[in-house]
Amino acid sequence: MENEKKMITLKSSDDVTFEVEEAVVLESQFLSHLVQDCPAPEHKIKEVTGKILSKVVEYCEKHVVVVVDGGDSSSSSGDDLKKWDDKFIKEMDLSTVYDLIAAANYLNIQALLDLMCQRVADVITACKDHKEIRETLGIVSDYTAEEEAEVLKENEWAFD
Amino acid sequence: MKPRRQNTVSGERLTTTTRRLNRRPKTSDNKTESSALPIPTDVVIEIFSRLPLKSVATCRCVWKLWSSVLRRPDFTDLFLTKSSSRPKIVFNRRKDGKLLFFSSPQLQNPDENSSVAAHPLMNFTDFNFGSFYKLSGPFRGLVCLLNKQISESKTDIVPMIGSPSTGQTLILPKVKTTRGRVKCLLGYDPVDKQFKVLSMTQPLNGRKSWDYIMSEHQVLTLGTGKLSWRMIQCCVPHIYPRESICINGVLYYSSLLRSDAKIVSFDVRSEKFRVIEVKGSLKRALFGDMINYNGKLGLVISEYSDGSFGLIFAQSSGFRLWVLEDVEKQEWSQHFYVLPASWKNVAGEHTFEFVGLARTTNEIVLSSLCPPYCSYLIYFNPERNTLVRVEIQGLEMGVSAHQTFLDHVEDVSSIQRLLKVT
Repeated sequence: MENEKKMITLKSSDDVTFEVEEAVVLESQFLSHLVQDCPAPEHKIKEVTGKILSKVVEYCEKHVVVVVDGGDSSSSSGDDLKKWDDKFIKEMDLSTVYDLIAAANYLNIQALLDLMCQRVADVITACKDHKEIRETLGIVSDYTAEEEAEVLKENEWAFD
Repeated sequence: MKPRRQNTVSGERLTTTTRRLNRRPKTSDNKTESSALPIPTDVVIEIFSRLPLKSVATCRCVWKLWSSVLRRPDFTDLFLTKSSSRPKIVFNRRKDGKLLFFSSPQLQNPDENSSVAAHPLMNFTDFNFGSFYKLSGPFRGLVCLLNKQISESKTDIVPMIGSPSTGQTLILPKVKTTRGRVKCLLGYDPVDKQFKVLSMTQPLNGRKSWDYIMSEHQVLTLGTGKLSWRMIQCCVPHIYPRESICINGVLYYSSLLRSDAKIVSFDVRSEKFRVIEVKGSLKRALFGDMINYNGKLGLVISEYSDGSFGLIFAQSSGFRLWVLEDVEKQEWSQHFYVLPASWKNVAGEHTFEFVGLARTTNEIVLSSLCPPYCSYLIYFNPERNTLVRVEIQGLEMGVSAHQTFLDHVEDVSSIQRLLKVT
């Protein structure tokens, strides 16, 4: 515990800075390589805004494996972490979800990407039909009326 | 899952998304060209792979390019991998001319006296076949069955392929025969990824017609355009198959006629038959159940304290399992498991059948057959000699004649194959 922790500063595209422990950065494969290859104290992440980077940092800080004295490693217990994840995504709007998907994809944080993908999948699963999916996700149909009739017939079993 | 807030916010998103979509043909941004969402296509595929089969079908109707993405082999392979990692148990029940299907999650290490909810899948309606008829499959989400089509002048026996998950059925061409009784078995060849149906016939006259040798063996390959039966040679004389199972591209079925006991194996890919001799005490195992024992053929039957054998119920003292360790050398291993003292209480008034092996724990799984007003699965752990009983809730009760299948997966490509020929 007394060991001084190495701190790293991340700077977003709109110049918001976040000072985090190195362990937090290691949650991202992209950042781990970056930190190893380029031992500068500050790293600018041009592709991610401050609003999204703050979410990424919040997620990684929660999920980081804490190495305590004696060499045992422990993280928050599975159930607690799941509850935290549920709360984390519960109030998030879809545009933030998309931005976090882009950020997690770019920074290569698989667990965060999985969580966000599951969130979109849950939103789609909760829709009762194709029209509700379009409405919820903001998609404009590119089917002609004839094409749509055909594809609906082919998949009619899925509609109660 | 759908708080109003979210809709409002995504409604705001609508303008940006639509704008991006409309502008797309002019930009070089091909990352999202087939996703309709402001995220890369490979992530959209990842999202789709997490959907239930029903939502996959709904998504096909949302956007044209989604429909083609949802048919791409990289998606169908990923969907199958995901589905295989969370296999389900399928139960079928029969009621009022309907074949009902239910599924429940396949529990790992269930707790003592726990229960699990089964959810209804789709039904096959107008099902008229005899009450002892067994389905063949499911493999990669498909089952094969025979049905009776009754018209004013005659009754036709119609072989069908169906998907319990979608309720879609495909009526196969009538089996060409001059005889009366038809048997159809579904096989899957994992090398060429092909479904084949093996049919065979038997005369239907007189009391002892079940003793007649099956002949007119024919094969139908699914997904090759025009469906037709091809006559093939079967060099192994055998009677009506009692039990059958398909494991790693080989269909095994039992033939038991007085002193002549054997297992016939049919290689789905090469379409070659061979005989697996059944001698001595192994013969009694043919009265029991066939299971997939970690990719090998397993035969299992219950024994009683007086040395006799039969159905597994409270009076059973243990059960014997034979595993076909080497098909070429026809070598079997044999294990006898003594049931723990708690068995009588756990079994209660039920009789059971052996349905297979739980994947990660190697527990032997039994499913209750009757009485029909409640359903249980029993997990027997041979190493620890423990029993765990799990109640299955939500099944249609009070109906008889049913089957339980482990390791049910959902496969988008096999359902597409069904559609292609309809």
